Amino acid sequence: MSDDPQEGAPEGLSEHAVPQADEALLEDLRDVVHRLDPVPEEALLAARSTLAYLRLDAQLAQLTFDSLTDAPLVGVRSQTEVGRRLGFTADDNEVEVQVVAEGSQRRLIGQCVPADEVELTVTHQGPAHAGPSDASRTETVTDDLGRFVVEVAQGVISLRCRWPSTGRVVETAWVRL
Amino acid sequence: MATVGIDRAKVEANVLAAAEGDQDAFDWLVECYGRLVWSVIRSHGLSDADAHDAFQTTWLRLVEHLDRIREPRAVGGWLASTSRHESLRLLRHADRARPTPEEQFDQIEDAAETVDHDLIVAERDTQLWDALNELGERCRTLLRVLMADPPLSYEEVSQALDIPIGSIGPTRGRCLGQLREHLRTRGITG
Repeated sequence: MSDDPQEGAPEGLSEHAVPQADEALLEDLRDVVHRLDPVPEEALLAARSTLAYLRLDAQLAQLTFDSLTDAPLVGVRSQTEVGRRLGFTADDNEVEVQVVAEGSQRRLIGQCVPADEVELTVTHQGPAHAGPSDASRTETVTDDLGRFVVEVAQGVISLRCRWPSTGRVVETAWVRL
Repeated sequence: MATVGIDRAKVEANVLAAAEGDQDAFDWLVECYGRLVWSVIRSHGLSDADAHDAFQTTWLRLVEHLDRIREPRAVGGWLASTSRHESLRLLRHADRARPTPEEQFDQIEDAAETVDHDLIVAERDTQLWDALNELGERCRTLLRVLMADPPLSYEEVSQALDIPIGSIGPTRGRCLGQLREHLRTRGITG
């Protein structure tokens, strides 16, 4: 199949051959959209700056549970009381977090598993339209069971756990709180 | 022009280089696909602030997955798919915070309103823009993805929007038909 379906009528798709009038209308729309709804420059700046968060030595811990989307509906009400629960997994390593909202602040109560004294870094970015410079890192050490309590402002966060005993490092997927 | 094919080997090379931390390569990807990502997000009717957030999260997601993108040359489709998911996630998020449909609707209106009306644009431009925003979300998203420059392959469009390849052509025809209807009621031929 052609990689470029908009170039005339690509083979294999001839039954969907695009009338020239459609092509022209789409072309007009493209121009209009580019003129009337361009990508804001500050959004592009923020996008370019995200490469700074490339993992160098850590494994990605994927979001495997989010009570906001995975919990049964009956849990919705209690969510504001108990907080949102998140689970991240990278092989045998897990990061569990409970998020308690207090105004625009978010208290993260969590644990890095396996339980051990773990070096924790929370990377936080505020609302995107505030610009790319609004990012911060909080470093702390958990108790000897991997437990922690950290406060961050509303925004998007990633947690990094390093187990000194094994040298393992994981970083969680970004999650918006 | 939009129909000029994109050098997919170059896309792949830039994804691989960005995965090694090459900022120029990553900037190239942002430059190349920024409009597509923004378009997908806007087609979901996100407000200004939410659109910025979804845009930022999509690129963070790309950085997160740079070393595990299965088809680097089709990263455009991956980005379209990811931006769609991040938009839906934010809409769900917003649902819990401000649940009334009226407010949701107002937000969609707001997104369309952010256009700089001081800008002197041809009457037909404004009519086209309004007509586009009158379409249902499915049509809006499909058309905005199809007008991506550089264009996505039908396979990428299919993956991005989770629709069968065979239905893209007919749906596109139907959506443009609806758009012409909207234009006709405005006394404009498209």
